[in-house]
Amino acid sequence: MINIQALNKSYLDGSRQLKILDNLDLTLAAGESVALMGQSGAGKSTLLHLIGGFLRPDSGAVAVSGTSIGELSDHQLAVFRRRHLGVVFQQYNLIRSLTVLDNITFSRRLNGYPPLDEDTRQMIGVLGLEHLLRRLPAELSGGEQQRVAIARALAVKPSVLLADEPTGNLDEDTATAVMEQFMDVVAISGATLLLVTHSRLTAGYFSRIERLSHGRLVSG
Amino acid sequence: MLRIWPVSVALFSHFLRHPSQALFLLLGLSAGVAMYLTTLMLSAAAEQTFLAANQAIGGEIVAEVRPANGANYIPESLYRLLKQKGIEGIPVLEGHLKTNLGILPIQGFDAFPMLNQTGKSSQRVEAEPVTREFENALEAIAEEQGNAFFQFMFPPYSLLMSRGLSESVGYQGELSLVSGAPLPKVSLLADEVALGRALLCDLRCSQLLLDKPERVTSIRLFQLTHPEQLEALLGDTAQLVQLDKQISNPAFSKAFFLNLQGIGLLALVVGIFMAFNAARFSVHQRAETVETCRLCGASALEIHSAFAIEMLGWAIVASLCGLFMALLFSALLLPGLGLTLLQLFGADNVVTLHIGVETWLIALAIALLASVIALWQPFRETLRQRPKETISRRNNTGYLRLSLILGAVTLLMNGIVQNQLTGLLSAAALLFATVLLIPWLLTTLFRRLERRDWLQRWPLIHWCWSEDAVQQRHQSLALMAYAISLAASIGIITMVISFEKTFNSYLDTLLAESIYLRLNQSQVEEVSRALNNHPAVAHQYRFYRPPAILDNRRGYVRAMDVNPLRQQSVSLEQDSSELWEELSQREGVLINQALALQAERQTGQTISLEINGMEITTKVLGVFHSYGNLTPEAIIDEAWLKQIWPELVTDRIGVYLHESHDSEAVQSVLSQQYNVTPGQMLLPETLKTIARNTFHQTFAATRILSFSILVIACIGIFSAAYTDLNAQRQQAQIIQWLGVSRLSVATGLWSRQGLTLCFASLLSIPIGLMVAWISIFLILKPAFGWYFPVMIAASDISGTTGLAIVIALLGSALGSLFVWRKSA
Repeated sequence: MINIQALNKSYLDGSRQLKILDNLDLTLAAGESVALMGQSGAGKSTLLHLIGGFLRPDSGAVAVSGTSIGELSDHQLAVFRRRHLGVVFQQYNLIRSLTVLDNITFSRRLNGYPPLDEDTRQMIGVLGLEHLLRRLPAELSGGEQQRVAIARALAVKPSVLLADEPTGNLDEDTATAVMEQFMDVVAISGATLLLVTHSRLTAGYFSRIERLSHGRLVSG
Repeated sequence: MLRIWPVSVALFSHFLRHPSQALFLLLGLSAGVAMYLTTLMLSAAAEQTFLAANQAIGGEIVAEVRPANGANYIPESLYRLLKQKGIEGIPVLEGHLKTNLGILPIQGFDAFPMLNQTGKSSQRVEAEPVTREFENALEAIAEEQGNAFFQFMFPPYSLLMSRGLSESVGYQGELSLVSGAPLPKVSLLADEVALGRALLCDLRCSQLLLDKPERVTSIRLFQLTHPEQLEALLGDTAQLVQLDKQISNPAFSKAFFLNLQGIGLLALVVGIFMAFNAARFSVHQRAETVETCRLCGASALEIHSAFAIEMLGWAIVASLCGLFMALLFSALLLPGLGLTLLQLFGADNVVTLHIGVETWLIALAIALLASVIALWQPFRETLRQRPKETISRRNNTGYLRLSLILGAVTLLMNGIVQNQLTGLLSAAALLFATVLLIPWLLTTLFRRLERRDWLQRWPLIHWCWSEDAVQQRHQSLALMAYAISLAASIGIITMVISFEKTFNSYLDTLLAESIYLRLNQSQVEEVSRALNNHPAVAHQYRFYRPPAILDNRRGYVRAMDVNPLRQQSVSLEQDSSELWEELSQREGVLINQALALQAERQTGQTISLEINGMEITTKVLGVFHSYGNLTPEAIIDEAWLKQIWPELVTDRIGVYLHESHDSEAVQSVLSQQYNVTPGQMLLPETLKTIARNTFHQTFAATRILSFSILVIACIGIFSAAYTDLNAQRQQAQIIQWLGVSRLSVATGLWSRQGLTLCFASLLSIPIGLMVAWISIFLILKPAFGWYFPVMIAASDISGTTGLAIVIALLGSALGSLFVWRKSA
């Protein structure tokens, strides 16, 4: 489902070239869930941005659901993202001016789907958001906001779900509750999940854990 | 010890990373300061000129001897007679010269009496004042020019011209008569000498140049101890006019300056709005730096002080930039202002700018005030707490409340007292009250729209419109400034066009004659007979307009007969068929709007007139329009006037023709058979052009000012769009993550701004028309006595609105483009 080959990415730090990803290879099968761990600055978030098409690699190839990301135009990338990708951020990144319901259904409406279908309703129920649908994000707690972000990411039934430290801003109890709900809904959706985390607790939900160090995947 | 400096450096370094924010902040402050300073400088220059002209014309001489019985000149022998009788005065001959630089006024005077008076200067007392303009000129040429003093008084003579006049007419060292005849050498003197807009020369020189030997137009008297004896000496040849009854029009000048400053204040407000927007964004962006400074140990006092220093810094830079811009603006607008003062108020001195340290101090004070207004609130918000990027369901009801309060104040103010100042305040209050509704209206509109089910089908538009509810708080100030500017521009355009149309129609009515003749007295009878017998002539009449004292004011009375052609040339405020019958039966007089305003008289009330020394108190039968004329005037039955003033003669004749195309034939006959020169025949079109020119320059200057304000507002929109879109970058990125392309996001946001701009623009049209209506009826009427119907010039209004929308949309698009490129 995600196929990354010989991926290289570097940034300019003043006049110095800073290598972030060094000839990285990674493959995730359909429906597989993988946790990606590594120290700060190891390149975890950069990798997610490359998979999402927000960054262009220096070299190498990224294919998601059989589509080579690097060959898509800006518009094609946007269409690809809305159909195949779901993203969950550490900062929740909800649309501040839309209600919870509008946030959840935003991507569905972008795709021209009916705002709510039975699966989405069910997911809203699993995440415990029914009573919050008319509220604005500013009126929610951190845990509630992250549950909305998860619902929004999964509402379009994406083939790939990318999550960047989804529980990084939450306390331990809330993080546990959110992660349990998150893994439940991911399992229901059947999406391929790549989750970036520092937390061993979060990584504990995954059978496959990859570690990133100096731009390469290392075993253990 | 305070550690302000490191805090200041930390806060100010923000602008090194975001120079555009510094640019917008400075541009807003400078533009506002510049526009207000321009109007202040112009007002000060105009006021000084007006006062100087008033003093020069009548401030220090006590009386004048003028021609009587409608004559234009007094024999110079009368001056000699007065001198023999010990009455000191200056003989003056005024006229116009047709030169290669256009028609220039000229004043000739005899310098010898001045020399006597100057010699007595050490003993001068209040009872012996002298005419300042002539004295100044003599002193100046004595000091600056040395032997030129003698050239002035003796052949081949010299002409004195102010430097300001030389610049305005484009004098390059060559001045000659159109006929080709040479003129005496021209000496330039500083404007401070107050020569005004006339060439000054010796009396003999002017008599030669104007071909009026032994003639003077007036004799200005230094003192008047026994007026009865003097009047006896004058006989029928001349009349004595005491200058304590001169036209006094401080109210008009005040009105003029008040209007000018009103426009400047408007520009300042628009500039502050623009700066506020940029300031708010830049200050909020530094909230984190402020917090870090606090964590590093900076006290609240140190942070406050750092912001205060920054505020002072902005004020100093803005005052310098503003002063420079104001100089450019003033230099552009000054010639028009000078001409307006000359033609409207008779202030014939050259308007000059006086710039000194005090001007910069004023600029600094304005800039400081503007900086405090623009920056204080954002500073305070930041110092209190870090602003949160959250929204609530507020509907901008604060603006609505303020709008309602302003509306109530407007109504209350007009209910209590109605004068020019309250009119101006009402117009401003109404303008702000309606514009304050825009944020509330937009928020309410977008909130209602976003709830519609059909909008759910377009999630990008749905997001954009819902974002508007958030961004209104950031954008509303710029939008209001834009709406104020556009409404003011529309108001000014409507007023100008309404006045132009009314004035043109008024001129057509007033100047309905085909030819005006100004003859020598000896030609009048013969020409009049010839015109009566000419088949092309429908009617000809003698034009009587002798001076008179009207309700203790110096003015004129105009004679009117029963001829309907002549009666139709009087444009009345309220027409009445019976009025002419009453006038011919001597039941009263008609007065012009200027007299009605100054004397506070209305139809039906009584008024006292002093004609030829005879006092009469009679009824005001009606008020006639006097656009462009501030001199009091009354219309009286011709037979009645002749009864009061049997010896009254005139050298002017008005001629109506059956067909206007016969004009050339009649002129040809008059010229060939009766030696009437082309200069003695005036056509109505010439007079209309002169009349229109009075206002043309003022209107052009007003339009430049209003357009400048509009451009500033459009820059404000660009600044607002830029800061607004910058603030939305994070949200835009989320939308991109969710599958919308950068281009679509930028286009969506720009369309939203375009929609709000169009909404604000369309709303500005009725607001502008309302402002025009209020300005005409609450400002012009109490200020000048004139008023006219509001005429909606659809093409001009839509042109201005369209242009404003295009400029603002381009500004907004530029902002979107910058943000779009940044988010790449």
